[in-house]
Amino acid sequence: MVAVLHTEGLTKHFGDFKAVQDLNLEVQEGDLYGFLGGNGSGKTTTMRMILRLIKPTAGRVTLFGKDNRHHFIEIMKQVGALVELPAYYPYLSAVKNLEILRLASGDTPKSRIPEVLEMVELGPRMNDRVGTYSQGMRQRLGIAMALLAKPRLVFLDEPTNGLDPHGIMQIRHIIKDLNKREGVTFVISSHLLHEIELICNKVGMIKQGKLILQDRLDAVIARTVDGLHIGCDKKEAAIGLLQSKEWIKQIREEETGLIRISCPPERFAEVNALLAENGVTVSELTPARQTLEEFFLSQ
Amino acid sequence: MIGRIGRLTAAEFLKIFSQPFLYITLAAVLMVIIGAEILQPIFRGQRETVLKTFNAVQLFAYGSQYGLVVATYVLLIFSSMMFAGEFDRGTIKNLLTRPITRLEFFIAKCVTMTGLAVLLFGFVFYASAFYALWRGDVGPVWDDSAYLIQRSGAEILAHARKAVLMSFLAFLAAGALGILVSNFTESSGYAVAIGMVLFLVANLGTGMLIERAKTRLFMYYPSYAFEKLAQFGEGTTTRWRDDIDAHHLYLLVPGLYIALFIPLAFSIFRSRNITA
Repeated sequence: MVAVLHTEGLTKHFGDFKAVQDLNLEVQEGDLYGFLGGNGSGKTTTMRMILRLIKPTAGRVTLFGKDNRHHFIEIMKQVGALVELPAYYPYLSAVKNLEILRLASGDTPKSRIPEVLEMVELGPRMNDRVGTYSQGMRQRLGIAMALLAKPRLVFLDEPTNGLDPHGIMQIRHIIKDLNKREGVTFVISSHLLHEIELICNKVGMIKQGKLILQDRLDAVIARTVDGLHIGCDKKEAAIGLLQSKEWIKQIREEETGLIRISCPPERFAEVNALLAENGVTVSELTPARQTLEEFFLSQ
Repeated sequence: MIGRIGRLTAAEFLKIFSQPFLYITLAAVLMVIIGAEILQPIFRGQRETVLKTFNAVQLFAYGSQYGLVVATYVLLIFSSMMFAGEFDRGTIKNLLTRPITRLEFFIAKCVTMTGLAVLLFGFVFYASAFYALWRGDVGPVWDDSAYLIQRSGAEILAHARKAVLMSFLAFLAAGALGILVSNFTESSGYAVAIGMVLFLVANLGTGMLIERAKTRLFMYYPSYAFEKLAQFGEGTTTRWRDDIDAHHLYLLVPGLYIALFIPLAFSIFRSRNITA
């Protein structure tokens, strides 16, 4: 697999404030990379450094195997980006807004403009002034701008901001479809962990400017398993038995009637044996996992 | 590189020509050029020729003089918004994440400003000329006291050409000042305000300076050039200032300002973090 994006010790300080610290990101070709982090965690600053909008204090960015300081034009021919809120000229139509970017992009044919506007369902309003668009339509225009030059790598910063459920599904569909059909790599930053879970196959988590985790999504999800749901008879006896083990952190009875415990996955068999040996009939034993959100907050 | 700058310049003109503000300002400039005939007695006191009406040279000089003042402010406004406007709207990040360098982007903006300056200057010049030829008497300029023909057609044309040449670089320097202030701030409103205040103060200050010091400020030259042309039209003088002519100060002084403003603006732009 080829790394389309690689950062090495990427750091940005604004005075005394350390916005991003020693970040090492790795995105492979064809990845749907979710860049997770709360507000002010350093996601947008990182994206801006990758795109050379901001000069890093230290570190290096490589895109398609090339240093972004020395091969910027070559690199940017293959990159599309929507950084933070979509920006546009309100007195121009969507077509003219895209025409400006087409001229700046170079080789993109004019026919790509209606094509990309149809893709984000702005076709019927493409000749209207953007100033008259709703927030959701502007967001979709921002995505059209990022996709205009048929990029191989797309950076989308909070792409579903301001979209209604239909719009969110539509963007999700576009991303997945382009990834599947044309192998486009996406780096999607978001604080909406659930959204990332539905789109991405790899995630990086950033907290206070530091990368706290980077892995395949399935591996991360496996790490979110932190306990068991137990269905059994003799619940009081079972709870008593479970409480006797110091490696079981939390025990609570849920509304569904199941007992929820927190313990390491390698102890699951031990839990089953403990209950069975003490005459508790176990009818259900399923791994309980944290939501990605709970997992992120626990890091 | 040249191809990319060309495309970016085309994009810049697309933006400018789509702005209704441009057409409003052109209409305002036109009104001032036409209104110069009426404003003249109010502002300066009318200097009649023996024909008792303004001749074409006078009308051209008056129209150009007032039209150029307004056009200078229009150019200053547009150039002040060139970078600050992109920061204001956040569109700078859309453009700088395309396969272009900051230098190419900056050059394209400067080329656009120059193009706009040529357009505005040409508009003032042609509108004044058309109005002057339509309304004014074409013919020799008379001295109203001696009743003598003072100027030949060729001489008048040479003076008009000189006035136009003398003012263009100074006009362009106003645009360069706009480019500079446009890089001081990320708010187009502030940029325009800073540009206007700086220019206005310098312009007013020019009037208070001694003659020699005036020639050190670029904004002196357009008003001097057309003031002088108006005097030719009125038949009151025949001479341009020798010191200005001898050292080509009308080219040198605005040229130096441009050479100062543009690199300074680029150094600010190049080192800037784009957080818009």
